[in-house]
Amino acid sequence: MFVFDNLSILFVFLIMLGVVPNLFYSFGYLPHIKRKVHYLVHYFGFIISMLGVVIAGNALVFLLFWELMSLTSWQLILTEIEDKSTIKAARFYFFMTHFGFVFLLLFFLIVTNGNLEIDFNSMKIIASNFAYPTLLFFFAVLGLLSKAGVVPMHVWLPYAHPAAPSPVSALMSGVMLKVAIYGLFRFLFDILSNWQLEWGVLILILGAISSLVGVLYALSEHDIKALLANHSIENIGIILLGFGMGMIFLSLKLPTLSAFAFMAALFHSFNHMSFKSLLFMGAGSVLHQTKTKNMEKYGGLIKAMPITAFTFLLASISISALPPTNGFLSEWMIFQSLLGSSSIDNISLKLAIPFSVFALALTGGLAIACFVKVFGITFLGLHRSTNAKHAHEVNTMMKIGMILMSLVVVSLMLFTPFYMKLFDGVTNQLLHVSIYNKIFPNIWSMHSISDNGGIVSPLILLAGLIVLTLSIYAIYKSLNIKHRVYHTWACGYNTSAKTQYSATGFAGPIRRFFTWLYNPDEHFEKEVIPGHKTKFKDASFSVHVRPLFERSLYQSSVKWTNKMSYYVYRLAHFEQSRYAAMIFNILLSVLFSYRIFVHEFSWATLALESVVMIISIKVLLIGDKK
Amino acid sequence: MTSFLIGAFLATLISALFTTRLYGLILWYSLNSLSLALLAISIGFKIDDNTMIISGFLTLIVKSIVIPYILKKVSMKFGLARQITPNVPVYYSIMLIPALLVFTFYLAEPITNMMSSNANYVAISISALFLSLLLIIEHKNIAAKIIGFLTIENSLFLLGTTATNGMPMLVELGIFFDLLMAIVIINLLFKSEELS
Amino acid sequence: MILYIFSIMLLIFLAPLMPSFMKMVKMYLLYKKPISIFQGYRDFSKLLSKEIIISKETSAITTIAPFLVLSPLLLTLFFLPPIVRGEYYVSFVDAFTITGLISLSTFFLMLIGLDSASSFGGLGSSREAFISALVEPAMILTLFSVSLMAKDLGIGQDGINLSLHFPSAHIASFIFAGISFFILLIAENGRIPVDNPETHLELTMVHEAMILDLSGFYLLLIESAGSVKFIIFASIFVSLFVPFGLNLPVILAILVFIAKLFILAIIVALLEVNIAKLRLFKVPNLLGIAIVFAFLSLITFYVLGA
Repeated sequence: MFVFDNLSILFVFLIMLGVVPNLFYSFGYLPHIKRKVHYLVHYFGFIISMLGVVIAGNALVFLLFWELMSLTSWQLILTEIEDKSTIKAARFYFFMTHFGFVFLLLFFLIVTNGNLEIDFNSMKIIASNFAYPTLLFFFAVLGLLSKAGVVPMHVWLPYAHPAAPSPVSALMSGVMLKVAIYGLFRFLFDILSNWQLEWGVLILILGAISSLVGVLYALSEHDIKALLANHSIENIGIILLGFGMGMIFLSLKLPTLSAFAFMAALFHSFNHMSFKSLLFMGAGSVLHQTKTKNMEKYGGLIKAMPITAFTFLLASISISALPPTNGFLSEWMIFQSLLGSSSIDNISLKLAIPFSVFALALTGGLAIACFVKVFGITFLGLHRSTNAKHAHEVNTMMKIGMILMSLVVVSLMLFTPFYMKLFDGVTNQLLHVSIYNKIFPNIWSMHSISDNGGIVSPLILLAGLIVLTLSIYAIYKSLNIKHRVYHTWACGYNTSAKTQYSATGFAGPIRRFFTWLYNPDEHFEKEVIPGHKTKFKDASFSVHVRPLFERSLYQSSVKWTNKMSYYVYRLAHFEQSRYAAMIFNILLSVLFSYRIFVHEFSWATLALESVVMIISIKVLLIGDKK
Repeated sequence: MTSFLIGAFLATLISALFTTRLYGLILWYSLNSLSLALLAISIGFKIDDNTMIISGFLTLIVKSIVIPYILKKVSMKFGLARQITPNVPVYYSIMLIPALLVFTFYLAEPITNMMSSNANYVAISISALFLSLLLIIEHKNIAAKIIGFLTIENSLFLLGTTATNGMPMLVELGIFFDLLMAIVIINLLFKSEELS
Repeated sequence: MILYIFSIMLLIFLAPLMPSFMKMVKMYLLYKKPISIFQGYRDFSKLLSKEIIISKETSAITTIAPFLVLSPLLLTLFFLPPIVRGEYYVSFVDAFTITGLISLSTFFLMLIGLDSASSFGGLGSSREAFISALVEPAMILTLFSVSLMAKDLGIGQDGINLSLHFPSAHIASFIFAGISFFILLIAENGRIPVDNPETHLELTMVHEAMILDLSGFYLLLIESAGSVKFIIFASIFVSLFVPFGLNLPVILAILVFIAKLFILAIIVALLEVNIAKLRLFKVPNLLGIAIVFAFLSLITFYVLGA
């Protein structure tokens, strides 16, 4: 009924690391929640259900806890109903999560032959006898990755995560998405055997696109929590890049490289859990003090909330993948596994992988820009609203939560070899190769597995940075330089809250460069002083970015469904003979496709039967033009 | 040496794709032809083929000096716009050009498998062909389109030199005369465009 | 080990000379009376004796970040390729880490820009963020391709491998990588087609805009970080893409290295005199060329070198 192998234990550990600081933060946050019992019941239910998913030993338990996880998190989004958008977000989340659930159910129904209580080993036998493993793979990918928020199934994330109370957003973004990654590991290794090369390539492409799309939408966002939610899409994309490389290497029979890539994916999962939870906690504290999610209303909060600000800074540096933090180390590992592609024989694949390197590197650069924006606009400069002016540090429990979480971040940075040992246990169980000793011959330096790979030594880097900074500081102190406090110069112009750069302005150049993706809706109004052309009293500029995927995929599919259902409705109610003809055609096409695809495939029958189909549709359904 | 010259050929072609000035484009075309000429000469010396060397020198004179010079004169005479902005924005080109290169290598794989020697050079000349087509596509300006047409000719010449170790001399000479004729026709075209 | 320390000291000594030298060459070419090559040192000593004026709008970031702008770059100096054969070099840090350290320094620089609440600071940070985001992929692809040619990812080992076995079989992709890296050198150091370090005009400022409100010792830290950054890029460029002279006797090798650095500085200065500054939204064209050349370098390596 339950499994406790290395993989499960590792993810239990991940969840516990994410949950324990969150508990403190959550209790600090509790006084501000009106429906306390509702919140607590669902909060603990959510944690237990996540634990349940990762230790589930058969399909029934897995599906039970998976559904429980979805339902509790859905109710948690509805804890604080501020306006209609919360309800809309919750409805969207509910729909998307059940869209995924349907595919998981289909997957399990096929691999268990209907008996949901058998364990993973028996499922593996059934799955290996199933004629279309790619179909199973697609079911698994659709089911799991819609939960993980991979493009193009990412649309619910920027709505659902901001709507939940902050501790819950931290859990959802930091931990729940990793449960989907756990599912990917479990399904691919324990249920589906004989992988194909294309699966890995598909995962790699999805990862590359998600990482770019996530960070680009994050840059254009003003809502701080929606921004962080978009960053989750990016980080899931980075994890999938590692995962996809692992799958490609394993399909090409390169197990050590594959193990390295999977370890990179696991390490990035841990890192993302730590810094994303911390970022959401920081955002929650800011939101709690300023009562708004709009970044344009923040500013100067570092003076009032130093602990929030510095923990947020730590997480920002880490998520921007800057050395010597843990975020850098895992991204370094993923880069190394992408570089390992130079030992592949397949020349087309080899030529295509630099595009993933490009995507990952561009993502890294844009992430730096994005977190400079978040940190700079939120915590630096002058306050942009009265709420921001009167903000003060949050209560002790919340502070403890944030400090504990930043300790988790620091521990991932300092004790990388220890964590690697854990991941090595997992890859050892899944792939039967142990590469820990190759990665860490000693604890100081971390080696890459590929032929001309690199080395990095996080501890030495950290020590070097500290020593150099302190020695420059010592020189500075010994010079005993005079200080004077004066107002900002800014070339002689006045400085006020209004003249500072805004978040919209900061992202301006990048938004202009990627106009084709953003397709921004710009409003610029100004009130000109009569008699002048250029002088104006008042001006306002606002940009609204239209989400490409939501518009093109979701809204248009809704529109099409509406149209289709209207057509069917009209047929069924007013034109019974045509309705019957349509059923006739559908039956015909089902029988034909059974003959063609299931029985045995031949181009001749396909051609013949499609001709018959076309004729019958023309004659029976469309009829003569009047 | 050969690989360097082929690299220079591709590099000048790609720089031409990013250029926004007409004279810059003509310069890149001239450099492109120069690398092609040097390539033909070096291959000619390597396999000791006099016709190849001659056609290399002809390329050097005609394509890298005479034609750019005439084009520049003509465009100055008719006062053509010097600013030529590509229709394809840069952010597309950044991804499109490498993707095109990889894709043509992938497509040309069956062809290159048939070749005994210099298989990869064939792949590169086919991708150069695609890049010069892109040059024609991305410009509305007639002069830039003509440069695109001339680079197509260059890439065909590259294909001929590297794949078959030189076409017969007669064919080469014929192509050169055709080119010169084409330049004369282009002159007329410019005139008609000016009139219209 | 002595040579190693000596080479780091040499680079630190040369760092302030380089910008003044480039300025000197430029002024000479423009028929102005050139400044002394030691102008950088004069500026620094003057800044040392000045008092620090801190804006009252700023926070703790302004007092911490200047140190963190300089220290990653100083740390990078320890990881550069050797300039003499047999010299100790750091083998436990690879090229990605170096790009990471440079980004770390840029990150704090951008925060300083936003800290003083001035509109110029935000403007500079925003532009710098835009440019450095586009530099990142070109940089990593270039390093990827160099690491393939030199058969190692560590920059020190690369320098030695390239000087021992010049990749003449991959000369095309070597040169593409070199072109790409040269464009990055210009873009990252704010030289003319991308940024003009000499003007204070809001239309053109990038780097200067971020540090308008710093003074005294803090300004010294940032300015020296700028010169250290140039010397890092220049020495990586001359060691990896002009890998000659490493095997000469010690004194000669050092002289050749210095000569290469100065020639590079002259080339950059010549470019600066001849090229007009690009508009900000034309900069992606230049960086696009760098990205495409980096790709091209990889592709030709795989295809022609196979």
